[in-house]
Amino acid sequence: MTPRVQERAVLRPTLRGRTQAAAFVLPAVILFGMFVAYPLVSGLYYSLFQWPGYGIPQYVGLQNFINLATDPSFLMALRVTLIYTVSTTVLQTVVPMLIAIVFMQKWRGGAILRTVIFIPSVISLTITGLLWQLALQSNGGLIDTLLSDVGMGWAARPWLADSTLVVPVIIVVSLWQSLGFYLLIYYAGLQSVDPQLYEAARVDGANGLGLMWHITIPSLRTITTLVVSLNLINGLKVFDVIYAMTSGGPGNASQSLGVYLYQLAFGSENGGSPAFGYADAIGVVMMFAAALLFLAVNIVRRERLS
Amino acid sequence: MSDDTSGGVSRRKFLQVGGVAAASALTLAACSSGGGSGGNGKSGSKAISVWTWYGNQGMPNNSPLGSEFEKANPGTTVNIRTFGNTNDYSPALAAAIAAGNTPDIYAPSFSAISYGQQGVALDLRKALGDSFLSQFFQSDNDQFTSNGKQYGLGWNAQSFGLFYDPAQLSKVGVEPPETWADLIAVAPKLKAAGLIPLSMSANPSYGLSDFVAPLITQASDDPTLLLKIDAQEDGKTWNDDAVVAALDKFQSLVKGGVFGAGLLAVTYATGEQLLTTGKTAFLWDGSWVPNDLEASSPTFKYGVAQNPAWESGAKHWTGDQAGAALSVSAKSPNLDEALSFIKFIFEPARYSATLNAAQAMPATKAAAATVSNPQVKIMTSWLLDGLGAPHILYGPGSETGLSNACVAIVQGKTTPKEAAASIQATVNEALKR
Repeated sequence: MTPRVQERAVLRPTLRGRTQAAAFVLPAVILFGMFVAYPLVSGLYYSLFQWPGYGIPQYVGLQNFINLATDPSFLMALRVTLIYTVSTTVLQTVVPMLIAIVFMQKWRGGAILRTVIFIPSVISLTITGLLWQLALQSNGGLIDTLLSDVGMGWAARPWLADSTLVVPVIIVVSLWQSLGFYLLIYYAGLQSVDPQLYEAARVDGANGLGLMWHITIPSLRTITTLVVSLNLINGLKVFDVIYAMTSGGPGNASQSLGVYLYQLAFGSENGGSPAFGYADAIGVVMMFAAALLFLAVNIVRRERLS
Repeated sequence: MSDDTSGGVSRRKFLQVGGVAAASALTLAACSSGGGSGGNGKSGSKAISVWTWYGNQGMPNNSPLGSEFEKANPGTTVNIRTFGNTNDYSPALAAAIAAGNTPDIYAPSFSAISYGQQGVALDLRKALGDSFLSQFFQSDNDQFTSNGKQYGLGWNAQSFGLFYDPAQLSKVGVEPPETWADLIAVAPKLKAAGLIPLSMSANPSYGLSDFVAPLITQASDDPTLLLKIDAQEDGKTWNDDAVVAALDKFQSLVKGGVFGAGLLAVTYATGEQLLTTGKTAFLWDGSWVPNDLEASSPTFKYGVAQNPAWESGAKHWTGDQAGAALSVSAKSPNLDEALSFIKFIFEPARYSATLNAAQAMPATKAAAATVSNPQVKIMTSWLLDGLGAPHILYGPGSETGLSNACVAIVQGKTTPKEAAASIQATVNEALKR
C-alpha cells in the first residue's frame, strides 16, 4: 500500500467499520432519545398548552409564558433561585479552591481531614435536607441545643422558620454537602500543575500570595470553568435539598423554580387540577436560562484564553 | 473461537455482537411497562391493580385484602401497590394516567373531581348506587361530588383535636381549653412551666391551612360556606367576613403567645416529638396521630380534646374530610372486578377490622361505631355528633393562598383583612393557568 493509500485507509473508515461503530453507539442514542430528547421536546410542546396531565390539552400558545411574567409566585421563585445560584456558585467555587490550595502544603492529618470533608458528598441531597431539617429545629434541634450548651444561646434562631434566614441557611447546607466533591476536583487539578513554574516564580521573588495569584489560579482555569458551570446548572435546578428541608416555606420564602414547578405539577399549588402545561413553561424557562449561562461561561473562558 | 476470521466466529466478532446484544437487552428492559391498569393476570385470569400510599392506613403492600378477594373470586388477581408517601406516589400516578395506563383503583389525592370531569375517574354514584354511598359520612361524599356525580370514596375520614399528656397537664394544673380564649388565658402559665402552649405542623405550610379552614366554619357556623368560597360559587370569595374573622382569631392566638418560636418549621414528625418529649402542652393534629404514636411511642399515655370552640357554648367545629380516598378508573378493562373489590373491602365487618388494625379513622358510620382505639373512637364521635367542617381546599390557589396568608400573620407582616385579600389575589392568579 502506498503511503497515500494508507493515509486514506486510516482517515476513511470502511462501511463495516462505520456499521460497527453505529451498533455500539445505538443503545446510547436510544437512551438519550427516550430520556433526554423526547422529554425535552415534549416539555417544549406542552408548555404551549393548558393541560392537567390528562384529558385533552388546550392550546394557549405563549399565554403560559405571558402569565409567568406577572405571576408573583414565579417571580419570587426566580429571585430565590438566582440568589441561591449566584451564592452557591461563588461559595462552592472559591471555598473548595482555597481549601485545596491549603491542602497542597502537605501537612500531617491532611489526608484524614480531606476524607472528613468529603464524607457529606456521598449523602444524597434529600437525606442532607432531612438531616439538617431536624438539626435546625428550634425546639430541641441539635444546633440550638449545642449553642445553648456552650453558652451561646443568644445565637439560637428559628433558622428554618424565619423568611430572611431560611435561604442563607439552605446555601450553607448546600456548601457543607458539596464542599468535598469540588475540593476533590480542585485537588486533582492542582496535582497537574508543573512544580517548575513555582520554582521559577520563587527565583523571581514571588511569595505565597503571588504564587497563588499568578501560577495556581490561572493553572486551574479549565477546572474552574467546569466547577462554575456545574454550580450554575445545579443552582438553577435546585429542588431536593429545599423540598426536604422546607417544602419551599415558610410561605414561599425558599421556594425555588424547581420546587414551584413540582408543586404545580404534582402538589396542591393548583388545587384539584394540576397545571402541567404551566409547569412545563417554567421548565422551558429554566432550560434556556441554563443554556444561556453555560454559553456565557464558555464565551468568557474563550476570550480569556485568546 | 479464534482470533482470525478464516472460519467460525472470531473472538472480536463474538464480543462485538455480545456487547450490542447486552446493551439492547438493557434498553428493552428499561422500556418495559411498570404497571397501571391490571389487564390480564396469570394464565388468563383477570387482574386489577390498586395504587395508593395508604401503607399506614390499612392498605400496605402485603394487605390481606388482596389475597382474601382472590380466594373469594377465583380467576381474579389483585395487585396492590403501596407507595411510601405522596411524593413518590403523585408523579407515578400522573405518568400512568398520562400514558393511558390508569390503575383500576387508585388514590385520587386532590384531583378526584378533576379526574372525573376529564373521564379518568368513574361516577361511583351511578356505578355503586345511592344505597352503597349512604353508608359514608356525608362530608366525605360531598368532597368528591360535582354536579350530582361522585368520583371518590372516603377510605379514612379525619378529624382534628388537641393531643396532650394528662400527667403533664395535671402537674401544671391546666385543663384542655373549651375555647380559643381559654387557651390564650392559660398560655402564660404553660410557658412559665417551660412548655410551648400549642404546637402544630406548619412545614409544609398547608398544615396552617388545615388549622384555619375550620375556623371559618366556626366563625360562620355554616359548614357549606368554605366549600362555596373554595369553589368561588354563589358570589363567595376569600374576602368574606367569616374569613377575615377566622384570620383575626388566628392572629389573636399568635399575639397571645400560644405558639412557640420556630412554629413555621415544625413538621408532623417533630410536632409529635414535641408532645412525647414533654416540650409542648398541646399538639393540634389529626386522627392519624394515634397510629403514629403506636409505632413511635407505644408506651406514651395521651389524651385528646376537642378543637376549641369560637366562644363558650359554641360548636367545636373540626376538620372532617377524607384525607385518604379511592377512585375507580373509568376506562378500567376489568371494571366489574374493580367494583366487586370495592364492595368487598367496604363490607362492614371487613372494613372495620381493616381500619381497626391500622388504628385509622373509618369513613363509614357503621365502622365508626366499632372503632377500637380509644382516642380514634373519641375523635370519630365528633363526626357522628355533626361537628365536621371542611378543611381540605380544592380550588386553584386556595390552599397556597391561605397557607401563605397564615405565614404572614405569624410573622406579623399583615393584617387579617389584607391577608384575606392576598388569598383572593393568589386564587385569581391561579385561575389564569
